[in-house]
Amino acid sequence: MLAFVLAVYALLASIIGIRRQKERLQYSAYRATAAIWALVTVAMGVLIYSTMTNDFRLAAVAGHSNRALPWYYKITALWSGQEGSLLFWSWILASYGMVAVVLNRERHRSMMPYAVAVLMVVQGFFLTLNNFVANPFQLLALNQGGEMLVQSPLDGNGLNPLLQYPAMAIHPPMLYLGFVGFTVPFAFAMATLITRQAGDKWLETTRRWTMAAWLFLSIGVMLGGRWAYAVLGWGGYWGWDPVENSSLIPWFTGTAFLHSVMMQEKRGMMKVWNMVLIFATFFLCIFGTFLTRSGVVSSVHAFAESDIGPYFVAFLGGGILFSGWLLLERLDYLKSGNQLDSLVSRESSFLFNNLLLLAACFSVLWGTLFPVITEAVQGVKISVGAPFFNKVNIPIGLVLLFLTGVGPLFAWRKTSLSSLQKNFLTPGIIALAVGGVLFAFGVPGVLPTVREFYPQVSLILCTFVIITIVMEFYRGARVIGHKSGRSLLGSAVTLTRRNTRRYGGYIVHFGMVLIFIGITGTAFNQQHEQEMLPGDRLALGGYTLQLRDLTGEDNPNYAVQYAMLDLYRGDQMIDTLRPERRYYKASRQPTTEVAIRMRLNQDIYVVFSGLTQVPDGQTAKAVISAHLNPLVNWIWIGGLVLVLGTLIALIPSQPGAGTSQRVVRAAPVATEASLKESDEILAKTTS
Amino acid sequence: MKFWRKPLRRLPECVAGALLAGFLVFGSFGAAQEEAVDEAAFRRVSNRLLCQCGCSYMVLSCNHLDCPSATYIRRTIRTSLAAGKTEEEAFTVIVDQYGPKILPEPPRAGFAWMAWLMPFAALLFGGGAVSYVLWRWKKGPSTEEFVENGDAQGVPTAPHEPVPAATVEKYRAQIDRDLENE
Repeated sequence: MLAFVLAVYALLASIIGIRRQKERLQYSAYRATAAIWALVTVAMGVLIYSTMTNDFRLAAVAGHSNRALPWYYKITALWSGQEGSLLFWSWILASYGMVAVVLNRERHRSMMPYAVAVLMVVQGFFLTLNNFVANPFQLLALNQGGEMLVQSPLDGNGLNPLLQYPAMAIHPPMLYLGFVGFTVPFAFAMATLITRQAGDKWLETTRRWTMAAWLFLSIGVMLGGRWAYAVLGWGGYWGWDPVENSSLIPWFTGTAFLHSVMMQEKRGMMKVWNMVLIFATFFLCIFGTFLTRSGVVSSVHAFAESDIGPYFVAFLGGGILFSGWLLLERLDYLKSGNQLDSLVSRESSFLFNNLLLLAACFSVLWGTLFPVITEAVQGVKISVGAPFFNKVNIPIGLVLLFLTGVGPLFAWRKTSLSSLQKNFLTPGIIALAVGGVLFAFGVPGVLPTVREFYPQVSLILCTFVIITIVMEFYRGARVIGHKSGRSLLGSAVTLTRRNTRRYGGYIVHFGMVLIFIGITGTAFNQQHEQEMLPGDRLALGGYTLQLRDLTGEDNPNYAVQYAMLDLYRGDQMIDTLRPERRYYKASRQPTTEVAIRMRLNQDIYVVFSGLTQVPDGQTAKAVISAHLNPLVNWIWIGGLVLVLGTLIALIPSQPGAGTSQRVVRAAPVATEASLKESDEILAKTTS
Repeated sequence: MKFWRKPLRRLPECVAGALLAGFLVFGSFGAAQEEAVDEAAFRRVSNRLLCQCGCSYMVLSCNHLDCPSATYIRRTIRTSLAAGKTEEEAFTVIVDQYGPKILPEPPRAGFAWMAWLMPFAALLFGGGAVSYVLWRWKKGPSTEEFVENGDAQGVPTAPHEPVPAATVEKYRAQIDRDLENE
């Protein structure tokens, strides 16, 4: 409550401080952000302490924890429920707000009070929810003869078993760090509009904030996919569930923003559009939370639902109306000198990149909301599942993949025909050749012959993009190598250090290509389900699974049953897999624990789906569902590469890296033309 | 030797055994033995229907234990197929029972067409908007026009010394480099 009062104070102090030109008031508002952080941190600490000490008088603790729960899951129980997760959101926002103030209060004196005011509006909204709608410190009470008596159950209901998984311990924090992180660039964008500053200062200030938020959101999305794959046990990683979609939708607009912002930085173009994108990303983050928390759409991931929907609708409605009005009112200040020399240019590719990302965003949003829309319009609910999303998004994704390859190689302003030939002919020929090989032979041990249209196109494009990226690194590294005498690898490192944003971006693109390769593997998945007695065999691809035994054990948290399966390739036993079925005692919920044999070429994924009685009534057969998932691990590897690339892009460039005190070794034979080309390439690598 | 290879001798393991027996008794592990049906046909039909438990997966894929929706639908499909119904008939039995919400994608009829049309309409609209924007930007004077027609547009260029193409190219390359690098 104190934090809420302070948020209101900070908001008023900022506004009054601006109006009356009183710096002391503005600084008082800045200090209030630190106090808010301290207070929300104390609240978080108390809630964690209550969970660790099994204080079941608190509804939030009793509802999502129990005595037998391991300590680390007791911490994660904090965000498994409505109240705790909203408090966690407030804490992250308070942390971001405080850091943003500390870093920028002196650098951006004119903009900062407005940014703080916007941050405090958002903070105030979430603290309102914490205090008045979903209070994490609500006591369990029972009405006895008109008197409310506090209850303390002997044990809690426990954590949802599906959430008792390591990736789930960090997936929600990552998503929240992403969702909340976009509040800071949003606040600075609003401050820019309010103060009528047409410049790019807000972009400079928030570039790293935006990238960090995007990185966290990307990690959150990836971990969500990994969790679904390892826990939900249906053999896939992305079911186009509404809650999954709600994390992807702002990721699309955030990605579009990260690209289009370069147009403003380098060419002064698209100032209005960038505002629209950051506003959209912020509001879609809030909308994602609304979808997850309100229960407006049914979802396997909706672990906490309540009646907070109207509050979110009001906040979203008010926020969108105000920011929309402000944008229209300040249009004159955002005019930019747009001029295009050629349609074949980096500028065009960015525009089409934005178009496709927004089309994907819209199609996912539309598909997610369509059941609600049909129910409202026709009174009949029409479902929209994975087949719809796949049909609509696969073509869009493939064109985006193509642009990932060609976009960065287009020059700003104009790309000549010779440049197109130089950059794209080799990758194009190699990619088509690879496509031909895949069509004719497949990849032994990984893929059969690739003859379906989408997988074929996808793998050709993946090859094309990888080669364009490798060529970019190779060209730059070769020049640095010639000039400095370094090895090619060392030169590539130097090249990246000189322009981290550009080459970090290439690495991110490379990560995306790996993710596409992994997704393409889904087209070749195989699955077989069979009821098995010990000794029975199940054939899957070139493998055989033989049920050895059914056994089990018990611990305070759950009882578990294993199916011991020996895996054979031909006649040779190569592994033993042990899928589980658990029965969680506190929540009285059964779950499956998948056994996965992970390899770079394919996963063997086995689910112990259930037991069936044979007619004699004495014996049980295990229902085993086995999946062969080619290339799926490249999705997770691609995710790691994407994280690496983004981290590199976040590091400031070192223009002179690798040039000082180095012995310059000229190429032994160098024509004037090749030297000129080398100089040009080298010039591109430095800033 | 790993624990699961040992016989159930110790007390905790006996408790585990009792719990497992409990699972079996209370039938918590899913569907009962069904009549033998064409498994491939069953899989095809159940992979065309969306589970109604809220999991967003196909009836075939839903692995929620004791899922009231998937278990019932699977049993109904098996019964239909065992009774000699075709795949399409078995599919129709379920769709008639649940309505369009059981279909994983909107039918291409009536209002549901909107689901399919809107994303592509948005893409087309966006494509049109991008094309228009590019056309507008392209309409503005390019660098060459700006330099070559400087006089005509009242731009102070050096009137008696036409700028050589090589010079223009040199500065263009310089601008490119400046833009390329932060």
